[in-house]
Amino acid sequence: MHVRLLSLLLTLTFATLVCGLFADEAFVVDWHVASIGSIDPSRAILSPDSVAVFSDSSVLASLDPGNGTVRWRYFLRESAVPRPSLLLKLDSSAILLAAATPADAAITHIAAWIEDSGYLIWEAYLTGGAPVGVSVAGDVYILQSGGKVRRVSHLTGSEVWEYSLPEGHSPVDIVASKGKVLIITRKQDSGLGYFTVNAESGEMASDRFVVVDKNAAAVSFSKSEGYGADILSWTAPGETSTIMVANLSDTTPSVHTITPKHLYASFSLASTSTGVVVAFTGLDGKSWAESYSSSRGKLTLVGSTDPTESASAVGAGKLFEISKGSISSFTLDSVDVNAEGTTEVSFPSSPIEFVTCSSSACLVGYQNGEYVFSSTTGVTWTRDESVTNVVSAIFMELEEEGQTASLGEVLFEENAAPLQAYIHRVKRHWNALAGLPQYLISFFHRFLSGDYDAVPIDPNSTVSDTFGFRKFIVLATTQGGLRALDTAHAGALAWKVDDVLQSDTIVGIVRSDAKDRLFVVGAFGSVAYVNGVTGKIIALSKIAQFGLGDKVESVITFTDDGVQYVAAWTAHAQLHFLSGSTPSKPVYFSKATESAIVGFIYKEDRLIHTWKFTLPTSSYRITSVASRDPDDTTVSVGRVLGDRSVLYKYLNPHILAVAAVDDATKSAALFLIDDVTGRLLYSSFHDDEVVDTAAGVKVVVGEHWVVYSYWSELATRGEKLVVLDLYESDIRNVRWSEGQNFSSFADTPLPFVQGRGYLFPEHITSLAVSRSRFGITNRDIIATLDTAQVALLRKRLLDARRPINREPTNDEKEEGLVKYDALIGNDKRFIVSHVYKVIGTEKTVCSPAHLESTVLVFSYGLDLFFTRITPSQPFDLLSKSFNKGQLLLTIFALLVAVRFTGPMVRRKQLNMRWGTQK
Amino acid sequence: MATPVWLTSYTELSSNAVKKPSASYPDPPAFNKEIILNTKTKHGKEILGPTPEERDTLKVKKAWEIALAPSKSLPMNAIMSYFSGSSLQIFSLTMTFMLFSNPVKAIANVGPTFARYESDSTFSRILQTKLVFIALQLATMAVGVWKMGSMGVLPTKRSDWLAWESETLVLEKGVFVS
Repeated sequence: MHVRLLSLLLTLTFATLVCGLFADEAFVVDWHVASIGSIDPSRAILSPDSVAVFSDSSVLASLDPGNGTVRWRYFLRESAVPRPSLLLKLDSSAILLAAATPADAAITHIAAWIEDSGYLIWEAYLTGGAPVGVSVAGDVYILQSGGKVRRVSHLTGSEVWEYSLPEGHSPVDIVASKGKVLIITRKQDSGLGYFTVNAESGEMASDRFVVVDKNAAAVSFSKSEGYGADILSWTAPGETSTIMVANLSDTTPSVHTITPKHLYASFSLASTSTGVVVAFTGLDGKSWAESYSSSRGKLTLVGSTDPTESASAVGAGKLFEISKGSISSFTLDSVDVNAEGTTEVSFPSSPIEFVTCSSSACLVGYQNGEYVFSSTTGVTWTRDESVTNVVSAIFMELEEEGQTASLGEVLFEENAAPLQAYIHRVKRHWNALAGLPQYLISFFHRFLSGDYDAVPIDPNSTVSDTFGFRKFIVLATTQGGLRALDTAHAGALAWKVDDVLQSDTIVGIVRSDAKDRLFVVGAFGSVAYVNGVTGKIIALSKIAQFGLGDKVESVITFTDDGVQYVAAWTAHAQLHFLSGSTPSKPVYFSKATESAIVGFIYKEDRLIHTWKFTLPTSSYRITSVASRDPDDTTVSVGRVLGDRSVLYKYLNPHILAVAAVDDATKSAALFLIDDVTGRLLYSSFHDDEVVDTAAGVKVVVGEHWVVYSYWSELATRGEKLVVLDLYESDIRNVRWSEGQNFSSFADTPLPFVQGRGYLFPEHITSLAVSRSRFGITNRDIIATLDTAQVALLRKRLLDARRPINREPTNDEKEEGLVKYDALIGNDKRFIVSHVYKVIGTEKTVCSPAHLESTVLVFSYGLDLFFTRITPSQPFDLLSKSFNKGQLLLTIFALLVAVRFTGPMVRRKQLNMRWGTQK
Repeated sequence: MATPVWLTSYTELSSNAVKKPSASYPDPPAFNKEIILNTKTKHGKEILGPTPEERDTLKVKKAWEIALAPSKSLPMNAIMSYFSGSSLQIFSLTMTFMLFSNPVKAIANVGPTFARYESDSTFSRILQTKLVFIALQLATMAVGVWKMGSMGVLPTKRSDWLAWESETLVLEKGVFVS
């Protein structure tokens, strides 16, 4: 009974602190893009009913070959690294992944998965090094970098036998077939060769190291197995005219030399039923293929294609050639390479990175991050995985409908002669009348439904909705492209531009002072001026006087005295202003290095190094630095306490929160410094904990507070969330900054810092602070979790003033404080991503809507996730359940009642005056 | 002809005229004059009406009664205000409103209230009562003010003026290059 009462009380207390997402808002206000990451052709298996991929982002996924959607995927960041790893088919229904583990590269994680459902069949961890080669012949034969060879049961994953290579051999690959296992190695003085091991017993079949190429001291090696014979091919270093080939299926492999028609830059070799086919890419970028037939111990050229501007690849028994506008296929037989047909297809214009083919279809990777799955009849599907490699993301404001047309006209009317302005206005209003019927229809539609989303916005338009929920999110990708996503249409692509900076890599994008313009800055000084709403490149230029060998490190934007400046910061500590003017007043810059914060002053067009803040010991390294969002506005300079006195907030805009870890002692520290003078304002050390230093410390700066988190094993295992509230004084009603200007150089008192630590059960991968339009709404903390979720942590809950070990007094209750409880449970109502699996998010950006209550939140990294949050409840928005009909009916009923009772009352009053009625 | 007694008794309202007939005709049976008038006639004094001075004194006394009436409700108001708490509820709000509206009305009507007791001779004394009356009404209002204070609607604390405090102007411009 008591427990129940207590839990009820607790629920009531926290009801105000916790607010989840309503069921009718899920999938409406939010969207999620599930990605897999960059595909590597060596880790992609194309089969008729599945495309299995282990991506560069450690995602093992199976794509539907029909439409390219993800059938299942696993984020194996904890158990498998993409390099080195091997993905191959185990049998007709299962795939096998062998990869080094992230924690220890000497351990191989090997796992078998059912391809249809994604169920794990078995998994094993093998010591003896990273996987070098895996071959499947019934069971799994694996060669590891430590010289171990293992046979693993394909049914259970248990080890059947183990074989260790003799000394002096470095493993190259393994080929298993017909009861024997060939272990290809390189021996220091003997060259490339192989051992033969009995597949059943695991013992050396012949005591001989068969040398196939003595001179191949360092070879680039490739293996082709499966369809035809097992072929080993290699080239001598620096060789571009010949390829060495050995057929391992022969009882005594003989070495052949292939001399292609032209010099090649790269080649891929596949075995066919009769020989081999090699697809070459020439030094001039053109590609061709040559087919060789093997007969009586000799390889003879039987056919070839002409070098064309295309990419070619060999599927099972077929050759495919993909050019910009077409896909051609060729059949291969012992006689010739026969063209089967060419289909005109519109492929992306970006350069092709790779082509990998099955017997009927090809997966084409483009340099812009797009992947096209195409059969000989045309493109089946396209996936854009460039959004998994985002350099920077930015929200673009859209104009409200009709506003764009009026702005210039209003300015004209303000400045023109009165009569002219009057005529202009009348004309404008007359023209605007044309839109009246449409406006009325939409008005009544909206009025009756009570839903502002009821009037849908055209996805092709570039106008904002009433509440500013529609914006474009512009992403800059590592491939040098820009992608704009529409927040109101589930992240649909609004526009895209590839290779904006003409093969320069993008360092950052910032908004310019013109509302819809963006600066895109590249590492080598390229600057593109882009319309962020349409994606049109307005101008492309190079930074003037860009130092030789210099590199842009970051792009910054700041506003001083109402003027916005955009500048590029380079590795040589140069500052290039991009928006024309340079500041006339001195501006103080600070930059983080590995173990220090360095201060600069920019005055008289020169950047001068001024101060340096170094960490207390050299073993510390900085993991993250945060400063307050310069656009964040303060509404109230103090915090009102329960007795109506005021604690004044320490609102120094120069606060820089520097989080550092010590890898040796596994401890963490936080420093608050002034970024103008480098003065240390506050520091805290977490020495008695075992901090996960690899994960680092995540830190954010809110209005007058700092929140940081780190994972530690002691004293209690979990993510420690520490909140620091900064006040001008610990004495109430005392404000030393009153009536004076704040200068970092003045001897201002240090802030009074109140702190509380909280415990969160899940790993937090990043933190961000929400920002509303006017700063009246609470600022809450958005945390991305490694449980593939996005959580909203209430700052009111993470309060440094919560009373410890006692119930709050009446005054404290009025302040909204509840008793301190170190554990912030993983309440499901915190999770704004609800059922979405948002994996690999590393960063979150926020942007206010037109409504003060609402903040748009966008998380990116691998997956993309967007939602709207209302940290202080949607106080300026009627809920969808508000009964507008009832309100209207009531008003109507009242009008009717007044209409009928009015005459009655009048008559009565008249009668009373005449005295005919008492 | 002499004026008949009935006429005198109808026209003359002076006490003498009323008194006179008592001697001329006998009292009704069982009427005991002694019982009715014994308080005054015990010592054989004749019953006479109050003098103008006495009447004024009486009026002033009455005026004082009215002037001091609010003091009787004052403790009750204070106690009720105290016990109704500091929360903003309809009951305490109405009460607080009455604590202001009633005194204001009373002060506005102070002339008519005391008009009955006013004459040229009592003017100065009645003025005293008026002033006391007004003072007590103001005291009632003071209870109202105290009540408002306890409800927290008076801008007496620092936080009430916080909205008018502006942010400190920052002189330097610091930019962190992330």
